[in-house]
Amino acid sequence: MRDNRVTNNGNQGKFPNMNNSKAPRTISFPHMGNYYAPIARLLRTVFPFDRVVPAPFMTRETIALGSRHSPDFVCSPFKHNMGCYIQALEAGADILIQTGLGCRFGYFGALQERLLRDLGYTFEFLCFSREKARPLAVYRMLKLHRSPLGPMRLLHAVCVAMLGIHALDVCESYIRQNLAYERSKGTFHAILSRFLEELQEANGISKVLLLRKRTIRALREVELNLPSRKLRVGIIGELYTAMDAFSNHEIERFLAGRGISVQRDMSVTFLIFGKRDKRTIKRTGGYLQYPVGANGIDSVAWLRDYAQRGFDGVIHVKSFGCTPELNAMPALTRLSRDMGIPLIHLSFDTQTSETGLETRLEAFCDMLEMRRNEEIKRGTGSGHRVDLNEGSRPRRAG
Amino acid sequence: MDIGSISTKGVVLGEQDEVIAEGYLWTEGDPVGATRRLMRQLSEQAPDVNITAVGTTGSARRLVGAMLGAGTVKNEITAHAAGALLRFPKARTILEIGGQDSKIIVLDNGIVSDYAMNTLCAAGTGAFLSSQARRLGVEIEEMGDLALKAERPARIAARCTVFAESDLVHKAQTGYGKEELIAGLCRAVAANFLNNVAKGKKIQAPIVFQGGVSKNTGVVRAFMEELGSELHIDADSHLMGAVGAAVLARSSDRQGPFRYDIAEMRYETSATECEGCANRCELVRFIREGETLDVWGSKCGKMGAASS
Amino acid sequence: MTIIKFPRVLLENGLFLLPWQILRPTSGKPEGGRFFMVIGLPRALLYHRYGTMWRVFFEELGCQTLISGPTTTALLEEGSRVTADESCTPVKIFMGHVQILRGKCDFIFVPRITDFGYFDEMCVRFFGLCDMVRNTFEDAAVLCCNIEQGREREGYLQMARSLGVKRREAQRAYERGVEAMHREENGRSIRQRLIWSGATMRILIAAQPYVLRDAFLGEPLIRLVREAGATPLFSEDCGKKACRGSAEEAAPGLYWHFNKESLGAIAQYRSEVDGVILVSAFPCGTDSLVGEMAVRRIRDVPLIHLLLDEQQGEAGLQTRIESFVDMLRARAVHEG
Repeated sequence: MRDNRVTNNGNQGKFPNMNNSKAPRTISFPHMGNYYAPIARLLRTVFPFDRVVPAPFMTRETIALGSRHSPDFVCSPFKHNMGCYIQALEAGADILIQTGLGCRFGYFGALQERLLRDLGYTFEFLCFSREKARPLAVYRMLKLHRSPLGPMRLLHAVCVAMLGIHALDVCESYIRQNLAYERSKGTFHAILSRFLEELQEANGISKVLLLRKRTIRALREVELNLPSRKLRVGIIGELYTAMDAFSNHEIERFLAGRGISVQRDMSVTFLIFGKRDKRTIKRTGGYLQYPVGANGIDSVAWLRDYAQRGFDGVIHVKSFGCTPELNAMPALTRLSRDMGIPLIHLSFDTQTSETGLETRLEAFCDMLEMRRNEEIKRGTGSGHRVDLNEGSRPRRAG
Repeated sequence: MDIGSISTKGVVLGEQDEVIAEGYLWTEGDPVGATRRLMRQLSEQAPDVNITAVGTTGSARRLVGAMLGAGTVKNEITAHAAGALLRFPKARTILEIGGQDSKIIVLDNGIVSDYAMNTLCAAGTGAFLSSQARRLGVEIEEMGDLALKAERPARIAARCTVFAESDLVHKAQTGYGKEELIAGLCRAVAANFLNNVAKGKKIQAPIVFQGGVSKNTGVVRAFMEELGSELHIDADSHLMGAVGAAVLARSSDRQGPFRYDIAEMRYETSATECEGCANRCELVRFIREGETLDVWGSKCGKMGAASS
Repeated sequence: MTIIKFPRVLLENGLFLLPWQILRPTSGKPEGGRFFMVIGLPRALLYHRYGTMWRVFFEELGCQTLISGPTTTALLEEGSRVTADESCTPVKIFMGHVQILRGKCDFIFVPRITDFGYFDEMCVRFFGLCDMVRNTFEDAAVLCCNIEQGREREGYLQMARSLGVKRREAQRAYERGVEAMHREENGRSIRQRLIWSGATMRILIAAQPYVLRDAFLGEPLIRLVREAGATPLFSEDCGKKACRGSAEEAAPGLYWHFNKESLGAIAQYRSEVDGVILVSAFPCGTDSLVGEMAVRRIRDVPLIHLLLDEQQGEAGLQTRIESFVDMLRARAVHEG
């Protein structure tokens, strides 16, 4: 899993006519959660003659590098990406990849390219942001950068990647819900590590599907130690901070350590297939009338959903100063008050203090436990409702 | 034990919830040393009691918890709530201002239903007050009484410690007396707390005010004026975190005999960088007489409390 | 007092406001029996751009407008009491204005503008302003006007319809409003041109309208520039369309409406001014990226990037502006 420096040249035989005289280039991209596996797979297919090396895994040093070379009050995903790019360039990358959507994220690429060039690096920057993310523009850009794939092959590669992402989301969702209860610690983690490794090798639709099936079976066979009344917490919020375990200081692992089952509907699968603003507006129950940018409405809709499903609490995570989530915050606060579901807001930036975070989270867990114990003592039934869809089998992540 | 960033508090709680022995001293950046001194104080006050359980809270809770072999290591919010509920079972709201933290805890039928802590900086906490008191050449203990003497408190913008300082200088130049400045500071602390920490929280009576700053009568008055209701302040309000930890320790099932002199052993901490993965976590080992008591600082959880 | 029509005012949660709740005794203006109500306009954010238009528009509709006063420190404090700490200062100011207007008018007008078409968007902040106000002040009646994809006219007409105004009347009011706004803007830019030609030490102040024209943020800065002996010129009055066109030069790929205007003004007039002050309000989301881009790309004219926040001391600002002007003077002397 750690060794990503394997060059992939398995496809070379398929393109005998392709001019391969130029030296292979190194393609790199920043991290977000475990998505590096399907993305690396995709890029290896798209650029068969080049080496695909994800940026080194994020460490504190990445963050320090990133914040040193970023504007002061930009949100932390920018700084994290920046750190990843610098480390990738130091490791010898020639081509960097960035995307961009909604809010500020759409302008990340332009500024990052400029900042990196000012630092004196030479590289090519593939920025699939906004209008450049349309299929035709992507195809043109790839052709421009010497991808030998025709449209159909490209489509196939994208399908494989989507399936890979979906498989990853399904597995992670199951793990998140049950990590707290595994009988021997580390089983889930081992299965996931193997899955990620194999996912990087799986280059066909059937291979991915088979891998997914096998992994889900393995996950379901893990012995669980289920308590009589599970504590369930939902995580909502800004996409990068919610999905990247390094950015949110492994909040899911922390909660699992406290015996809490975690639900998080935010995933790349959701972003690609599940985001329907018109429908989501209705699901906010009148708390929002219009989309408030990026995933603001999704946060509100999910909070309402979790409250209705009898969750014990919800954690709202975001990077410091995230405008769409700030837009949603008054609605979230009001909703949590009206529906009586505990909600805490956690803002992460590059200087988040571990102790402060821990104190807050611990207090939150204590609060939930106390509420549950009180509930059990009083014998009210509200919290005992068991969702048949949950825990027993992986739900669709989107 | 409540080992905060500024002060270390300890109590010995009797069977009838009475405080048998108490200690309050400055941490001075050395929680182990402060604990050792505090243990000496406590053992002088209550030499012959049989201590059945130990609980720690505060920012150095884990370190001192490992040192004293505490059965209960709890965060400050839960501990403060437990302490306040012991003395005021009907409390609905707890305001707590300590050295660098301030928090509000909302209770519903004796259960924490909501809470908030200061996020961005330490403006409006005990550290802020004591640094400003030093600037004005006043002992922190006499601040409260001086503030009560003021007739028209100065309006000081205390959203940020640094800006508050310059504002203080400015106000001093415009002819405000020392008492008025101090009263202004107290009011700023209260306003700051209500605007930042307690933002959006429903403050319902009965309100309990605790933490070191609750000993400052000037701040208490400012809070009463802002909130327009009575505040309940226990005689031991500055020790409430420790009392809460003691209550939690007593009700937990992890109990064991305890002797004061455990603090007299030789303790050391050593920091190493973990080579296990690319995260390079800084692992802190806490060692007693050559035996590792605890390791923390790892992100992955592999090097947990149990490893040696 | 005559009542002709039941106003179709759909409030939040699907509640109809009863007629007597919005009807006020008619005084003076309305003829033809239109209802009369008070619309509150917070003097913040988009007011600084569209204020004139809104005033004329609502008054043409027979409403009374109530505009909050200039921003003060106390008002900002009120605002930050109800908004999250991390929110940008202009939003805190906006909330303060709403707070003041609350209870004094029938509706508080909060527009929602997302974009003016392709590659010409607003900050995400404006997407959610309406919902933020509704959820922060549960008792406030918010009148929202939704403008998407540059359909400004449609947005206003739709809002007028929800107030029970006939389409033709609304159209007329809209046109008068736009006309008044253009007249005012043209007057401003002509005045600026005149000042421009006569001045010696010209400093372009590039900022978003709601920073530049705010009594708490921009005005003290402008005063300080004047006191330092320089002539301030504003990106706001530089001919917005042309500025937006030349923004690409300063920051390629930029798609935010207001940022395009302020950066475009720099790009267009950098040879004609002695220095540029780029002003942002802390912690503005778009400026965090765009400001950095500008500082890196615009090298042929002295430029400083000033951050205004709610705790700013005038002394610090003064130091920075004076030293900047001094530097420009020294340059001018040096160059001859």
